[in-house]
Amino acid sequence: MPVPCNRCNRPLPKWGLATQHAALCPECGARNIVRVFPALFYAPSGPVATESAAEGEAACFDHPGKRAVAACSRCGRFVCQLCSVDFKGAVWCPSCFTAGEYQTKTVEFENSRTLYDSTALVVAVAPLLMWPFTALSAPIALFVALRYWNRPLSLVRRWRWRSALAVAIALCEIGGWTWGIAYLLLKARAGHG
Amino acid sequence: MADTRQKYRKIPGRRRGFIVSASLWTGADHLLAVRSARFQEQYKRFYFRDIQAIVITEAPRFVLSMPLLAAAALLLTGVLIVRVLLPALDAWLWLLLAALTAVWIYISMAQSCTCRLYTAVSREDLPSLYRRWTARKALAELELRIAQVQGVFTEDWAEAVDVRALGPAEAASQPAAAGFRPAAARPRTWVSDIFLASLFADAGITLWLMRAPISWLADVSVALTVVQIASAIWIFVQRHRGILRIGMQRLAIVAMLFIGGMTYAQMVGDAVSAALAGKRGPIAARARPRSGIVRPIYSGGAALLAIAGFVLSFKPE
Repeated sequence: MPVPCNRCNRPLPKWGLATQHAALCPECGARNIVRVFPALFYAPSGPVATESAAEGEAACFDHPGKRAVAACSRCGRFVCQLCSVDFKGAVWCPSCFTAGEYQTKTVEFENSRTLYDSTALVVAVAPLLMWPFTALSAPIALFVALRYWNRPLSLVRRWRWRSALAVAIALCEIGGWTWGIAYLLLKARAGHG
Repeated sequence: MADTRQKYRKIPGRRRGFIVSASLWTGADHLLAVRSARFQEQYKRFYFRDIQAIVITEAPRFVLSMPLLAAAALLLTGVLIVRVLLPALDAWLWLLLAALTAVWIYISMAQSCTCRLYTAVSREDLPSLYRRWTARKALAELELRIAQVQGVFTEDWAEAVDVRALGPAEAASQPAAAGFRPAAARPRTWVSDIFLASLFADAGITLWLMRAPISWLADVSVALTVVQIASAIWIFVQRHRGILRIGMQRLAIVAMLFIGGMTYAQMVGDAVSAALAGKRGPIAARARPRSGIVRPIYSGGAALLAIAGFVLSFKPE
């Protein structure tokens, strides 16, 4: 399919694309800025070719009929061309790769992270809308902020200001409650006296 | 987990919603699309060597971002303060507010866009690029990085583009992936039903209390508020699990802000009334709106929210 318009999904005209500035969609009239890169014209790669193992040759652990081309850098199992996973300069077998061993060494395959610093901040701030809930939320926010202080932040963030702010707000809330309770107790004692 | 941190550089453009935000970053060899839902971030990587095309289409986008809402709230507060202190400037401030609203409408209609990225196996909307000027800046940066990896065309590609498939083959007839969550969510669950029922009941009881103040009925109203808060929290959980559609979560957020706002409005109102009456000492905090002004607003607001929720519950996908 040629380049489609984002709005109506209809193909944009060739003469519009050739201008390199903006292609006007003939269907919906929207102006499209299109940048096409050479990757569009790469030839699709074919299936991985594996050779059959001859008599006496080392064979793949998972495919005994296929010739081994390498050994797993972790468990040492022989792997064929199909099974070998080339990652960070080492060859891995599929089992070791999927076992997640590599995850302790790299962030390249992470697709999500829990943001404990944001969680602590939201738990500290959001209950201020209904302030009586801060009696419960402030200790929770303090716990979350301190317990997960050393956990990795977002992949793209640098600073822990959210955790620090959550601790500060939670401490203020706890201080406020402590002061309020102490005030009421002293007042009650003075009333009795 | 060991944090072998990569160096990422931010690409212009960021979308900051009340809960969800999106941004783009460039790494050594890939573009990182980040979508954040406050408590969790999700990442998608597009390697520069794989990007086939980027298409920016001019389209109206009425996005209410958090900085915009914060600025609007600040401005409105300023208007209210000036209205009391300098009544002569009142009309000018409203004029300024109207002009800024007109600017926002113009930008949303005439200076906005959608941006989509294609690889051989995916096509992805980039929600952080929704204004034309940021999209152009981002495109310029990305073009440079992609050209460093893929090189540049030496001949006219527009002629050849007809014979090549852009993006995944099956995507041509489908809408682009708008988010990371599968669209199997339901419009309503029993939790959302309880939430809406409690809002309806609360609106009715508050209305009744305006006519006849009955103490046990006021206690029921307080209990209903607790039910609303608990069910709103459970709605967030259901949304996070992909059970419930996002509309109900938004309604729950608005309802929580409304209830909280009313509580504080009541407290401020009490303080002002006490000050006007010349009373001293701490003001008693009330869990429910009891004054004559706040009560009809609360009742009407709760009823409107419940009606909106009812519509959302039966709205087709």
